[in-house]
Amino acid sequence: MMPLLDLILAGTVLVTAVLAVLAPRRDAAASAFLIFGVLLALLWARLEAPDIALAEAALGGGVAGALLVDALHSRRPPQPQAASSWAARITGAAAGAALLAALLIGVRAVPQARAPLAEEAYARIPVSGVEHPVTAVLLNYRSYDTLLEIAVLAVAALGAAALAQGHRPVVRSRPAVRGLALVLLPVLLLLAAWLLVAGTSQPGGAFQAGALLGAALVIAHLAGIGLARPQGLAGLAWTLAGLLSFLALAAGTAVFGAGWLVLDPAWAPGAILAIEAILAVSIGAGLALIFLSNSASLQQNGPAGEPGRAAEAEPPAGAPS
Amino acid sequence: MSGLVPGLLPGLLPVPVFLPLIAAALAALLPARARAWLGLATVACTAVVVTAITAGVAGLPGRGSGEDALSLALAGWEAPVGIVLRADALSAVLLLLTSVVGLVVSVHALAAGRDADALPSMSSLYGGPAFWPLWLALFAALNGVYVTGDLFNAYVMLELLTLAAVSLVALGGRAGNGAAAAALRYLFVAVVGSLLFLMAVALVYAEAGTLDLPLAAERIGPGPLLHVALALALVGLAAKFALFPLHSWLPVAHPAAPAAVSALLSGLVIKAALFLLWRLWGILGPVAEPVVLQGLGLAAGAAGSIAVLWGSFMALRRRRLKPIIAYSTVAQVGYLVLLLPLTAGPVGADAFGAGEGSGPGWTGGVVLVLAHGLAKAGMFLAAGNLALAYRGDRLRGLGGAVTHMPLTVATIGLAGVSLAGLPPSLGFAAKWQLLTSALAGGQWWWVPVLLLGGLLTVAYTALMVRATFNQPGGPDAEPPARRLPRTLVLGPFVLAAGSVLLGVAPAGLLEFLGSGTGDVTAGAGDAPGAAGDVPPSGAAGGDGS
Repeated sequence: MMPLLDLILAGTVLVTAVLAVLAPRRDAAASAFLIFGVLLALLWARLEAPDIALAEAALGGGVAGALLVDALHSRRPPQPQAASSWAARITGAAAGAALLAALLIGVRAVPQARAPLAEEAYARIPVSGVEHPVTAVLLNYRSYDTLLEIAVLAVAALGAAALAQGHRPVVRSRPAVRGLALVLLPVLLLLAAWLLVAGTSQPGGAFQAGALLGAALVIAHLAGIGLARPQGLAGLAWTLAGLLSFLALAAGTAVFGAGWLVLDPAWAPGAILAIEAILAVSIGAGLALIFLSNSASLQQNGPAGEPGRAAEAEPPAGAPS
Repeated sequence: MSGLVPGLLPGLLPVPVFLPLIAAALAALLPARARAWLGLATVACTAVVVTAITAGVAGLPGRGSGEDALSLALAGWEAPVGIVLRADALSAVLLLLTSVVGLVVSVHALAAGRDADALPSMSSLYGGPAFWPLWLALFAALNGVYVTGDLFNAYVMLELLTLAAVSLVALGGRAGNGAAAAALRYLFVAVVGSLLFLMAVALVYAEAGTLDLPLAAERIGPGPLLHVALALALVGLAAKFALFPLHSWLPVAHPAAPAAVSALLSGLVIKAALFLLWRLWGILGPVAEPVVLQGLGLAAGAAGSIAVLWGSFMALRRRRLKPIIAYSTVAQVGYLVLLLPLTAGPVGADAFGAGEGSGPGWTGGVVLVLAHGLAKAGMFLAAGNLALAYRGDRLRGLGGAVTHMPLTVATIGLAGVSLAGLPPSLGFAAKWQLLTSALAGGQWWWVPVLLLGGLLTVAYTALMVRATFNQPGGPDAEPPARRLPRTLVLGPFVLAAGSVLLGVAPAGLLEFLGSGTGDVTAGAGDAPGAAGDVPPSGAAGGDGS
């Protein structure tokens, strides 16, 4: 029974992916992409990778969804985009087919035996400072990669902020939206905190908690709650705090400790949880900063850059209608 | 020096990554003036560290003894559990190039920023205050690619590099020249390239059970999985360094960026993807079936040959400075992949970088990367100066520049000499080695491509220089609309002059490259003699055809 369900799930993921690419209307394509994100999260859950499933649901469904919907809302093209040429479609299809064939050849040659690396990673968990193997890999064995991934997010936020001109104004929203947000926000914050703490012993961690926090900040903003505005210098400082503390940890371990990023089992649990907490806040602030920069530059740049295309009077998301 | 090696020097390996990252985060929070000084100081400090690393690599006993690279296990975990950083002679040379070009570009941006208060159009030279944090992050990512010994870490570094580079291109958008669209196109291609590379990494991991590159080479066997992984990596990375026919983003993105960013993109950024391709080829390549490896190398070489001719041809047809220089990059990338067929011989893989040292073809390629990095960065900066002084980079509007801005025109000319590979430039030293290797390996069919590409390079350089002369018979041209500060003019000239002058005495450089990767006395058995040898005898066993 389960294999059949999995097959249906995998097939639906493929269908929604194709729909997202081929749908002529942007709103249809965006909806297909959001459904694709949710189904993909289910697929990851079925593959017994709950950490990835959580991250995919929060990022692919939540943050990407907010970005897409906001982009659609701010700049609506008068008619569907002109369809791409047949040559481009054929080239794309041929390249896709070649890639599929190559991957099939490669994946068929993958040996069945489980790689010994997993056992080696499990064997070192007692001295890693955490109990969950994924967290051990992310924040101890391969903490260098995680530090750089935080840097990637920071650079994305910096790039978005550099291109945004002006701040997105806080708009008062309808009482219903505001009320809904006031109910949702505590739940999201609680969930984020739980994911963060749970990450040391079970699926969860800084990335999932941060993604939820980012979603909470976006919701708060859309509901017109002025408090949560990770823009300007303060927003950048929150976004960069995680990267800077991680780098401080690296430098500290190199100068005073046993070497770059070497965590002593004695204080590793505390250090990992502290770093994860700061990372979660920074990830949340960074994602929200990207969202707000994007919509701010869409509103200020879009209509001016393309005269006669989008109407100037497009109301910002969440404005009273 | 070697007494220090076990203790202190490997500990320096993460510094060229961490130091610029700290500065990038701090710079974003500082006012514009302080950003520039912090940025310049960081690049200068990193350059000192990189010099120490290079000295350390030069002091290593060499490959025969099994010690050809500095290495450091991060977080206290050796491979396969942890990430191991490694730096050999190739890493050191590229780190040095990055620091040298980075230093000149930083001085350029600082000088332009100082005058931007009085003259707002100056900020179009480098992109405004947002340039600094993004450039420092880019600098960290470049250094990170060159010291990594881990496949997934290389992917993360490529992502950091891509995002920083794309954001920097978009900074050109203030001038309203469509930089946003160009940056978006660059982003799409670069992300697809990253994905293909990631698939290759996943395949290698699936069989080898490790992400550490040298360890993976030991554990993986020849078979369809490795061959597919190599092919995916080749296509993915080729998209990132704009190999024909995946090049169409480059002539759009590089000219749209501010001049300082164009210099970084053409001079440094494409080299990172190329470096990774060479690494994979050098370490995993020898494990693959020779026939498959030669087939892939031949395909890359064929694409490279078309790139040399097509890029040069398109450069000749452009009528603006920056697009000409960007198409020249498309052409020069073609030369750099010729290395794959020229070195695709069966060489042992007993140590990091072991398979890479097959003779003049190998050193020629590395020296060409240096020559191109210096010359192209100088050329783009000089073109930016001309565009600023003459309010645009159309060839038609540059008449008289040779009398009013002689040093800037000389920069373009000198850089062109090195790109074309005329003696005594570094480009000549590089192409001589490639020629020697092609002839010695019996692959004479690459020779006409090398020579014709050089001729076409002379032609488009002449096109650019000729546009700066006065109209024959006409009155002397007006002085440019703006005079530029001396610092802005000198920096690019130093780069271009360096790319020529280093060619006068390349022996030390060739010897250094040979000491780390070429000199083999044990293990592989079929490797050539010292790579510094210019005569073809050095390549006797270098090729398997």
